[in-house]
Amino acid sequence: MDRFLFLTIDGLASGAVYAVFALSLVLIWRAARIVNFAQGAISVAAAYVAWSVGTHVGGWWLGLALAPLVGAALGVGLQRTALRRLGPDRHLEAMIVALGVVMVVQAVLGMVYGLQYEPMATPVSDDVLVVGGVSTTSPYRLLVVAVAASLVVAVALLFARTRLGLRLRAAATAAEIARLSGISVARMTTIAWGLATGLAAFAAMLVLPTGLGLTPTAMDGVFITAFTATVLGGLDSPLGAVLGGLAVGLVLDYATGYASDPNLAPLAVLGLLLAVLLVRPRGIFSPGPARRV
Amino acid sequence: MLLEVHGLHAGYGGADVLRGVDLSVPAAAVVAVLGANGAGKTTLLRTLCGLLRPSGGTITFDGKDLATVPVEHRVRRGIALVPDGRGVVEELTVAENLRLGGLWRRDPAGVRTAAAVAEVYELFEPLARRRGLAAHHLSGGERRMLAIGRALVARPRLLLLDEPSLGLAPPLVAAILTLLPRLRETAGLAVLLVEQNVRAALAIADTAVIVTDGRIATAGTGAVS
Repeated sequence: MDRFLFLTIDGLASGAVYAVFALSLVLIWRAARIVNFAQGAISVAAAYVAWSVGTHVGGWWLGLALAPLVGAALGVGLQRTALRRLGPDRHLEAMIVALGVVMVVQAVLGMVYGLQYEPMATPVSDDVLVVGGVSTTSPYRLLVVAVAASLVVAVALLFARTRLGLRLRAAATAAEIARLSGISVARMTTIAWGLATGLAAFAAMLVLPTGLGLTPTAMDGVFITAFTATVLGGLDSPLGAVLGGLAVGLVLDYATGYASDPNLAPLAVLGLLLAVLLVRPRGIFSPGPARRV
Repeated sequence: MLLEVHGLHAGYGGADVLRGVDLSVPAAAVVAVLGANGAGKTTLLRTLCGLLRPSGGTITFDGKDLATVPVEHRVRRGIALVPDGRGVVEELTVAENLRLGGLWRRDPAGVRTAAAVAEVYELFEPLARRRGLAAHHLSGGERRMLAIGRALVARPRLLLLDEPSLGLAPPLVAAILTLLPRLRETAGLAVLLVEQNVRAALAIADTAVIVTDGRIATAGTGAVS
């Protein structure tokens, strides 16, 4: 039981990061109908910049504040240059461009920072706390959960309670009606990109100190796991992304903790994904019926 | 004259559907646009609101040329389109759809938009009862009410209304169409009404035009003989 409790808390902490990253993927999918394969590379680039500054002044906390700004700037830059020129309906080409951006960003990071592993220190202890003889979690994991939960709540409030959120939702789901209501859909798409890549950079700053460290490809695994969570929850559903992220985090931790070979953990996630897609091909929380093809 | 259109050409993929449309809409008048399917009625409305770029001709609204004004800015000038079929954002609630209509104006506290939304609830009482419901749960008639309501919250001076009776029961069609003269009287609203139900359209229109092959073939008063 103690082990189950430990794995559950740890799984929720990992899942919180996947949830934030998956949410960032959903925001771009809803705004532009593309999967941004460059999200991991952009977030790790933002983390490198934040880490560079943070090691000289301000530490991890300044880095946490800086990374989303750098991530947002990179995302907006990508959207307003390469992707906007493609036009709104060139989804396949846009995803190919995003894959190209991954290679370019990782090559540039390798040239500037090198390919070697750079550890990122946590701002508070990552040692597991033992409460009443039971291993629970570390103060850093608690911090990660708190920051991730705050981000998700902030995004939810932005979309539910603000004029900007209403504009973003209308532009993402009914572009023509949004334009007829006086909303600049192009501007909303740019804002969605900035918001999404900023969130992804936040997620990178939270997850990289937990042993992943900094390398140009450090976020590739997180991207794949978060993308799995996104498909699980439904590409159109922000709620699905968050719950999918938590579910994947839990499944990974349970599989790692209980399987005879921890390397089988990703298979458990793929099994969950397969089971869900067989029953709900558009994901658990995606609205509307599946389209027959 | 509120709206003046001269020699308007527009279409899709390089093929003109409108081929030299001339049209005038006075302030606070209901003008019915009639014609067979494919004559260019919907294309005319989509061009006037800016969703389609004209390939020739001029559109003047309130004395100002609209040629370079994007669709997002035309609603600020006072032009609102209620498209046929889906005119609502399915994911948003009734209240959010209506608020959407007022987002263009500088009204951070939302006071003026709230007043406009309250007026829509008075006009369309079923919407008031369903204000918290997502639009995809509404019936066809309620959706049409919501689409018109969203446009009215923008407080337009010219309402472009595309096939409001499409797929609706006759009592609901009558309720919507009798609303238009009321809005003309109370809000000074001009309406350009595209409608297949000729008798219903002529009953409320001050003037009517018939579109044939992308041109205005005939114009006259809306008196029903």
